[in-house]
Amino acid sequence: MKRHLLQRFLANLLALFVIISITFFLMKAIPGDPFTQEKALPKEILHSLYEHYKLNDPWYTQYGNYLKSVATWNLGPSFKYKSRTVNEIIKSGFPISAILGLEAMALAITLGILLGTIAALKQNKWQDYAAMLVAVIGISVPSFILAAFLQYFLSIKLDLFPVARWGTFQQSILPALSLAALPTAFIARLTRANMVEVLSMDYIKAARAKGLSDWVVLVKHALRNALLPIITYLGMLTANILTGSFIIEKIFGIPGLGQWFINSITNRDYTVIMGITVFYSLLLLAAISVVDIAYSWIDPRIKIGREKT
Amino acid sequence: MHYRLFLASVLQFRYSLDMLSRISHTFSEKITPLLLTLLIVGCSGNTKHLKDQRLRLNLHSEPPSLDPRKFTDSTSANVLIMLFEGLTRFESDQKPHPAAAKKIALSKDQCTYTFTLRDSYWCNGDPVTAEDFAYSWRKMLEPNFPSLFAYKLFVIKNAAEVKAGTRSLEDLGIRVKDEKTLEITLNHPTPYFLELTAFPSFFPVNKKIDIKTPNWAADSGPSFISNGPFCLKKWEHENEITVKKNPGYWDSKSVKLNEINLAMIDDTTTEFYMFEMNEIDWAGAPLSTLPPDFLPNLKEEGKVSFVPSSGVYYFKINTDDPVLKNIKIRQALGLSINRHAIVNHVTQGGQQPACALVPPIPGWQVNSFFKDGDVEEARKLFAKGLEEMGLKKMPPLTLSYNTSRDHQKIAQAIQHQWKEALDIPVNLEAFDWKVYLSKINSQDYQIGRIGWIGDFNDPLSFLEPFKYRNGTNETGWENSEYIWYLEQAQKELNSKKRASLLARAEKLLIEEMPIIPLYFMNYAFLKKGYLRGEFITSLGIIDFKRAHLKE
Repeated sequence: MKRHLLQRFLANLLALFVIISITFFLMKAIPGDPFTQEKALPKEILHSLYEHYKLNDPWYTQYGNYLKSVATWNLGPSFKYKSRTVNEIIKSGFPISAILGLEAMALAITLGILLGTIAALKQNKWQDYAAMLVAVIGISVPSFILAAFLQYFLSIKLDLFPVARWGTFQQSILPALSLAALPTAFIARLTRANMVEVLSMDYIKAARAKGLSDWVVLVKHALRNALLPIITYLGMLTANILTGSFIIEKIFGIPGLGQWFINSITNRDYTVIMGITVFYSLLLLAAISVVDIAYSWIDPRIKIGREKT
Repeated sequence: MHYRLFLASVLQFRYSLDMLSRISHTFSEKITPLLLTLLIVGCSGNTKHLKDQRLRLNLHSEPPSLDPRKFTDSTSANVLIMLFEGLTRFESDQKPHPAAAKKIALSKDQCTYTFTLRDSYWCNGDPVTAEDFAYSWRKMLEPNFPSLFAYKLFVIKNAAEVKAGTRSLEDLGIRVKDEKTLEITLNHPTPYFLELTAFPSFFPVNKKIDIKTPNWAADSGPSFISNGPFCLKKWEHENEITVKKNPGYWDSKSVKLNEINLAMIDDTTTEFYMFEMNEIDWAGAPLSTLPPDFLPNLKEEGKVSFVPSSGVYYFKINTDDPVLKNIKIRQALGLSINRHAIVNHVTQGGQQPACALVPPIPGWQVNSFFKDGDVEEARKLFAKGLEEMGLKKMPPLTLSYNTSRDHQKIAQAIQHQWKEALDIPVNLEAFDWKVYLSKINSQDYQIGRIGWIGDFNDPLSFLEPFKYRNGTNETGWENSEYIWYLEQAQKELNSKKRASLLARAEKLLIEEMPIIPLYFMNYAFLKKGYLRGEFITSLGIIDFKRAHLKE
């Protein structure tokens, strides 16, 4: 087990290194720099700016500096936001995106499993079709359409929720709903498929034959096994949803991390681009690793690091 | 068997429902009083902020920098004008008036200004001194200090050389004669200098604090002090800024507002909704923009206010292009556009069609050098131009713009107009903003759109970029007569003669048409009726010094 963990760690490190390198070179390849403006700047101004931000150094020096900054987790200052550092940006934006993300995930998991289970139990009956219809809508309708829709009807027309901004529980409901739609749908479909499969297994028949109540059969035996593949999905979902959605945060004016992913590229804010890419990659790699390890712990059929017999 | 399963699922369902209802119970416990409060508050119009003289605005985005020496964008500029003050200040007559300086003397050769400062105080009680101004400006001009807008100070004697490192700071035309007297020497007469001193790049920073805490501009706190009508009380990054009245400001009796809250909502539709729901008192320009989808209806309902701006929307033509180097072809392209149609049916924002380059800035008479939509004349010129080039047909043209629905609509309209009038096939190309700027800068384009807002209210701000080939010209056009006009104007002390020289330069520019003007921009906004006393300068800065909320 320990050897496997070490292998895992090294593999993640390699992946991270590749991600940083590709991002760095892609970033340098696009035209434009942080100071590109409509009004052409005098040469001496540009030169003094490049010197200050070390953009005059050869590419391998800049590359080395980035690697060093990641290793020491001192991700540098933002080029556009003159008095902010990337560390501060992540520190202030991430908790907000994370809380919103956790709310959405809680909603998605509860509702998704519920819908999926009902659909599986009432397979091919109207409850099944209804639940799956909701799921398809959730997957097909883009989150920002749902967000605009909810904002317009529930906030503007019916005045039930605040229009935008972040701080109170009421302000978090509409954005959380918009964010939760897609994961809910996905989880519902996954749950349904797995439940249907599990419910036809022999050990379920055995459990019923033993005289266990339907409730115990469902919760203690079927549900647990059906939810295994959901965990894989949850791993990636966590990394994605916790780092914030650009469009939802934009519509509801939430000061999270999502906006930085897009804006930093538009601004060619090199340090911010590198910093949040690394941050997101770390989260994603960690989430995937946790999922893999959790799998082997939950499902005794899966053994890591040992040969298959 | 099925019945039991059904019961189980119902039980589970009820279990989940129970959980849900427990959540929704607290939900409804909070919602019902909220609904009631909203009903009451909503009906009464939410007037607490009126009593408190607290203005609520949307800043649209986080200001990249609140250090007057480092900022480059209009968001930061609009906050800086609340917090700081320069030697002069624009008032609602669109002219600069003495502000931090109470007396301004100008030498005979019009190159040396002597400013005598008033008694005024920073937010921490320090007196505002001439040294604060001198220190700030010198700092900006140090070769290693990262200041993008330092070039705005290049009117000061030797400033450009000091920044380049070829002269030392002592050679700068900045002298502190005593605690309240500042003497500035310029390179040559600059009639708009007192406008420049009203611009945020010329605002002072507190020398003592800047030396002790160089990072003072990063956050609100005891180190962030300013000398203007308001002080920075709270700065939650990407979320909110609050400013409060500065008791030590020399004109604090004119400041009626106690507090201004600035949200940072990026989405223009959400901002509009917040205005409708009475959560903010202003929507639209100059801090942000009104959502274009709602604009035509709002205009019809008479709810939108318009204010002219020192901005012009035009197209640059790459005159080094093998086809576009022909003047008659350029003129044909320019004359065949129907600007009235575009302004009335495409942009629909009440803009003024432009047949000249310099917009209606204060003190300038807007010219009109050709007839708008003169398709007949355009066709004649076009035929002659093709003949001169030895071409039977015009090869396809590419019209470029930076990605935006508004620019796309305009480009499509022009594409259509050129096809109809001159039978030219036109391709449209959209690019990301910075990529687009890079292409224009390296003249990798044929025709591209640009929006230009003056740096200061003088025709030079619009005409100077085209003086020489390099710099912000980007069209490859250069004309010795044009250069002569501009240089004469720069030396001319008589304002009437100067204006006439500049008008002749503008006429030449439009005749040669390396650029095609489209319309003069304006500011469209919604504001609550109870807000009075604010004004927008034509350069896009909104001043709330004298604003108040009428109850």
